[in-house]
Amino acid sequence: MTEWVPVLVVFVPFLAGVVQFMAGRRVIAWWPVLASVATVAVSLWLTFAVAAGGGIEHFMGGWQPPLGIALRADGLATVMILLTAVVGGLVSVYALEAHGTGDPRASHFWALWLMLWGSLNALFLSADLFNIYVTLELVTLAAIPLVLLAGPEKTVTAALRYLQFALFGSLLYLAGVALTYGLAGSLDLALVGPALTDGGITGAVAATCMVVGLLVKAAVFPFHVWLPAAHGGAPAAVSAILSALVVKAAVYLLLRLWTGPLAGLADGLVAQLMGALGAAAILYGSIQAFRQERLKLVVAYSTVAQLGYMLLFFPMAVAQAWEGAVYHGLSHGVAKAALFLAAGNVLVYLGHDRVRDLKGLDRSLSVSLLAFGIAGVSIMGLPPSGGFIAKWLLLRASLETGQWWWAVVLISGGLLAAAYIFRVLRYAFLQAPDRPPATTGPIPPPIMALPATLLALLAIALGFTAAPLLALLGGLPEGTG
Amino acid sequence: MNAMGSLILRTAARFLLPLLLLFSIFVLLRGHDEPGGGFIAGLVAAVGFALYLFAFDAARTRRIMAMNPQVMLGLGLLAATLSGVPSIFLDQAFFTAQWWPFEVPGIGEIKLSTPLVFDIGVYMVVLGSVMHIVLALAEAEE
Repeated sequence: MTEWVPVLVVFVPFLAGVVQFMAGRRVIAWWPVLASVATVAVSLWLTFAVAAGGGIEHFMGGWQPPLGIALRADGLATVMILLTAVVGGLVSVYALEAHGTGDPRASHFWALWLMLWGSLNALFLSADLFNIYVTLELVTLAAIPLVLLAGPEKTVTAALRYLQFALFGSLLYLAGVALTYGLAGSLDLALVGPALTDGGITGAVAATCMVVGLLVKAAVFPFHVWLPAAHGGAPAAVSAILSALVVKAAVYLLLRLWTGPLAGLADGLVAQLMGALGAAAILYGSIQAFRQERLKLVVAYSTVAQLGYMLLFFPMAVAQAWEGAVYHGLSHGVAKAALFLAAGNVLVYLGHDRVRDLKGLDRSLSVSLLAFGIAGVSIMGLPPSGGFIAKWLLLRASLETGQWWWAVVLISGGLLAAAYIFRVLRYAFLQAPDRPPATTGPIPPPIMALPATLLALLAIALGFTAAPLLALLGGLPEGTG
Repeated sequence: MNAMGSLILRTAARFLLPLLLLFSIFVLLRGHDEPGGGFIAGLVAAVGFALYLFAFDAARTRRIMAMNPQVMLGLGLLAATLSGVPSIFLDQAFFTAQWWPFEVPGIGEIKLSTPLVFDIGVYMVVLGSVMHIVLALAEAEE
């Protein structure tokens, strides 16, 4: 029975999104609950099946590669699907209130989000280059209208810029795929490696196109310019999904391609360059986050910085760096979703999110601010948290490979993260208000505050559950380094 | 939209629409082993309706389409996805093609299949999304 699970993980949320699209507002009270529960259930089923019996492959239509399309659930894909299920499930709980019966655009949100969920799962499971392109486009085309749900007048510029960058990125990626197909005559990840390695200049150009395309999609410095406005302007649930999952999908693909088909091409200098981009993202993103005046922009620039850590895998390319980079993806995913949901609650309550005017919120918004603080612990990388485990693994990898300069970047990134998180907390907790804050909305109900807290606690819990998750991930794929 | 008020265009559109629809169904059924299929057939049908839209107006085009393009798009996606499901109950991989050929006296063999359902789904998605875009543009202009 388990050979069906990868199909279910893709098509359950996708079909649910289609039904939501057609049924519209009539089913808004119960269909999203059912769809989210079903998606989380099949994702967990897949996780336990892979944990118990190893990777699962499914050939669509019974056609074997190179003719057919394969869905392949290995350790890396499975931990990403697990992350999507956990973050997606808790964000869905938040969205049941934020985009429930009271929201005139609720039906759009749920149709797009469920299709985005299915597309993300398909992206993680795809085992050939072209299928990855299709799922990347699906993810982008579902994500951009979600940004617009904040109200067209607010985010239309940000969404258009997002669209331009995303299309540029996917066209570059597609050019790389076309060149690869010309070289290898196949698109399966497991089959194109040798042809790319022996492809000379064409192979190098194909690899460069794919990697640069994905760097644009992943908003890696200096291609980050579209991210803060889009992630900072979107509704809170959407920001959480975009920052925790959507940009991470592109970084996931970088990791997957680098350790798979591109392993033979990985050059020491290029790897150092990738690491340098990551380091620049960490330092620049953190400093920008410290300088922002709006809470959601602080969190959005923090995403630019945190994505940089995952790129530090490339110059080190040892088993600990692999585990550290992926584990950083997981812990950043849950912590960042918590930060965005908490910031969204501030926005609901105050009607604005100016950092300087957060004074005196520690009574009325205590649960949300607690979530912000706890998630901040993981973002800074303090023990005991998932962020600490990830940074510890990366730190040890940098010392093990003798590349001490990455250790400097890791430590200063942690200090800068502490600076921008504590800056927010200082305004929120330490400064007494001159007058009671002028509020425009109700105190967010527990159904909106608790998902943020749960996600933040999960970010801490990741500090204790590293062993089973890293066992599920498995070691560094062979032939890398 | 009928600024030209061209009698020739209107008359031609009235005749061409049924012809193009018939041709699109021919292309749809001819697909699979020979050139054709749901995508191109959906485009042919959309051309027919778009021509009608240029000759008349958006309201009349919506009336003659009978089905809301948005609903058609959704139903098409649903049909295409569901065409993969029967193979699950036969313990084969998802989307494995199922064929039910039978003889019709006087015509010959007719093959019903899940790829046909998939193609019809694609046809509806293409027709629905193209007409949704074109009608939205036309209505914005009116």
